[in-house]
Amino acid sequence: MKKYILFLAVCCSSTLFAQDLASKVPDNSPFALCINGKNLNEKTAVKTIQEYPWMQELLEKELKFLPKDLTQTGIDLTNKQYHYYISKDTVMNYVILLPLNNPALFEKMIQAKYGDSLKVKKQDTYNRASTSKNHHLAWNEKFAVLVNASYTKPYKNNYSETEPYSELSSMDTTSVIADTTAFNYDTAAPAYIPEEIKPAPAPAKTKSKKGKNKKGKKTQKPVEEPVYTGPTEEEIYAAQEKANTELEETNRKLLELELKKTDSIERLKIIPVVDLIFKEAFDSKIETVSVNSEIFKNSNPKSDFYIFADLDALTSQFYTSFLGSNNALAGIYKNGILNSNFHLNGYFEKDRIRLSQVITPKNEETKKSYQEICDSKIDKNLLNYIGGNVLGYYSISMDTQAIMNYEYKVLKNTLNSVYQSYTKDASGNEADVLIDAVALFLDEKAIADLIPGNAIFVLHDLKKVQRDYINIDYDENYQQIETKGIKDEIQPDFTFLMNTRNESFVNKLLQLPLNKSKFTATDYQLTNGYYTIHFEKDNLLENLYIGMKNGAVMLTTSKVNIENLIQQTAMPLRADFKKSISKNNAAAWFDIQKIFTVSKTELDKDAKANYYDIVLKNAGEITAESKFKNGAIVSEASYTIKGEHTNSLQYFFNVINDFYTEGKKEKPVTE
Amino acid sequence: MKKVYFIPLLCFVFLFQSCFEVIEEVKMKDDGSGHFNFVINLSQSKTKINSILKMQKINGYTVPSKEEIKNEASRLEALAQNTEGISNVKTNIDLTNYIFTINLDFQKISNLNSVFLKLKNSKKISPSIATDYFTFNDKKFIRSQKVPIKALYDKLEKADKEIFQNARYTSVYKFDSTIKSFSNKNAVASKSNKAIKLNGSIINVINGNEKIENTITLN
Repeated sequence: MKKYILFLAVCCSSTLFAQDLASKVPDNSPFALCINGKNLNEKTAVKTIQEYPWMQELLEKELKFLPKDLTQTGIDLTNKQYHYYISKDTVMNYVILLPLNNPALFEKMIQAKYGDSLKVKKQDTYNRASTSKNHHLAWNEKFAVLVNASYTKPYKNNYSETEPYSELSSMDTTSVIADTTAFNYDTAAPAYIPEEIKPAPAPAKTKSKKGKNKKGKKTQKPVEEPVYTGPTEEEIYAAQEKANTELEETNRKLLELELKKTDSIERLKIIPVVDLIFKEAFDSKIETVSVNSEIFKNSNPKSDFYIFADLDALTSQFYTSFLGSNNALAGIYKNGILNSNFHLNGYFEKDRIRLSQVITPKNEETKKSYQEICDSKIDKNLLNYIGGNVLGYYSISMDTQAIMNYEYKVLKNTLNSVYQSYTKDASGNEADVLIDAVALFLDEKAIADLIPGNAIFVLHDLKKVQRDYINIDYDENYQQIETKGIKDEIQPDFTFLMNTRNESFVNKLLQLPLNKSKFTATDYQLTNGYYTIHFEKDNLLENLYIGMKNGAVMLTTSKVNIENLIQQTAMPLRADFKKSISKNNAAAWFDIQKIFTVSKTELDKDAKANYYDIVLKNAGEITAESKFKNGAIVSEASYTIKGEHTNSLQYFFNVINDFYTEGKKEKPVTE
Repeated sequence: MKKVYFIPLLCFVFLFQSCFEVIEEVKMKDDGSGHFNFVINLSQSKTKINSILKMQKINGYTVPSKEEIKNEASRLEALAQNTEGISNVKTNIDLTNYIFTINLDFQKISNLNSVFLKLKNSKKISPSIATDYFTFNDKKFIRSQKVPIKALYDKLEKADKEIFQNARYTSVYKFDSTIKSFSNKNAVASKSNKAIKLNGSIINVINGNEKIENTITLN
């Protein structure tokens, strides 16, 4: 949390004249983040942030190495900073590019953090230092590069070992280094053979034969009682103990060696990669190259932060880094949601935080699939039976038949690649037969008629209900007394609506539990054209109503809503809700403040009242919308803030401050 | 697959995060005989239990039906009844308020410990877990705690652990004679000074912050 706060604080100012580091982000980065210091600083200046009491305490205690004035870190907090992720030679690297305005101050801050042990090396055009095996930084006059590099030796799949040359596909340089080194050790060192398995010298002729006469007759000797001359029990135990100690010591040394080996392998892997990253970042030739068009082409200059992700490259690189490359899963990326680029512009506006997100499929086939899935509008008849009592809703409108067809394609691609990775002879079409067979049994059109893909869930209320309970108490002489207590509980009031084109089937389904002697201990009856499930006393719900009319199926706790559906009496719905649900493939809205207010009964049992009040005062509304537009899935999400705040960025700092102040009130002063 | 057949009364405790109270009452006569009363009061959580009883499984445990709970109570009653020195065993299963009670008389306190031992053996609980919780000798009544509850608790899944957060316990020990002294500082003697009560939070007992052990010396 503190790191996050510092991170935000560091990002909150900008100047116009400093260098834009976007050109330093490699073209093939599957993830990039730009934090627009200029815009953020205009909304909440670093000087404002550092004056918050919680920030001052952080600077005094946890972040002592930072100057009291955060503008004196040497980092140009008044410019855009960039983050990116890249995997090089299976080393995972998270890189931060920070613009500098005073390299001397920056170096001073680093020295303050890591002390004199930090060795700064001067390279051609930049200085560099390493703070650990994984953390490296370098800087010149204009900017600094921070690299967090990590390497995990990929796990070898057993099945791939059976395939000749299968290693080649997943081999990284470490495997080669490690194996070669091992080989050298073997040849250089003299062959060591443990004593125990050295061939025994040829047995010398013993005199035992002398005891036998030529005819092999044994000489008769008086029988003596066998005398045990071996080690005593204590000696055996002592020897055992000694052997165990030696074994433990050997194991410890082996483990130490293994750790050293792993450590040096990691260093062997990481250092060249970090060197390359620094070299590329400080190469003056690259500075002239224009800003990466694919990564930053959708970055809106007005946004406060921007995120780009090449979803398939990112996931496959993560997978490869941890587990080695695996062709079996390659099919998942093909023509699926992951075969897309993702970008998001985030804005801290005056009264809301807004996220504008786009997922762009990389190929036409996927694009077409999404277009078909999203080629659906909500059945407007459903909107007539929601009513005005709404705490939140979630709606969805998609083409079920298109979803099923899309799933067949993804399953075929995935299973074919899995099959191909196990079997050399696989043509890549084996799974097609299987999935086509499944498709033969499933009638997509019939399923789509039954559940076309339009549905809305509406939370109307969280009612407070009183429940009585029995408390066992004691009188003054500890005789048991049963007393009655009353407690408040929450009862949800909701409506779920979906449409159907197969009313006859739904009707049969709804009639099925009627006239059964036992229906999970509840009553189920048909009255006035709708079904009622009546729950016994002290249940979460009292009644659940199910009904259908003109293709609209409803499951609700509201008798008014079900009766309106059956009588086809339209109920008013807020115009903005109606618009949002009708114009989007998915839409959601939740009034967090209202939900918190009505949930107080359940929540305040555990939460401390003052913290609860802070949350309640500041909780806003969440809105999210998503639709297919211009060949991409376009989503907008926003969080409308409440309370008195200059803007939605300062809102966060104010809320942290409120919590901090409340926490301070609770702590006894010890000084 | 985990199955909830370990005394459904107790197993309910493992099914949800909510309020419940455990009451343990021993009435000791001077001659060493006495009465034992054990109550699990889930009344404050009855809405949640009603919801759980409609489910097949929760937290990986199979949810018993009301009938199965009753059967298990009868089995427990029979098990106690067939123990030497134990009489008048009576269980009460209130499936409206979810209060489960067992009452029994014992000739000697060791007979009561034998019931716990039988119960342990019938449930294949680790033999290393001791069951001699009570002793009464020379006007000294001792409640010991030998179950490694912390170790057992640590083995539970996170969801199962949460149920103990709000759980409470009460122990009441009553005597014919007046109480001379007792070892547990949190316990409180009754007005007549012939009974002693201790209550607290189960999670504190598990974590060792509260003790249920007590040595009571009578006049």
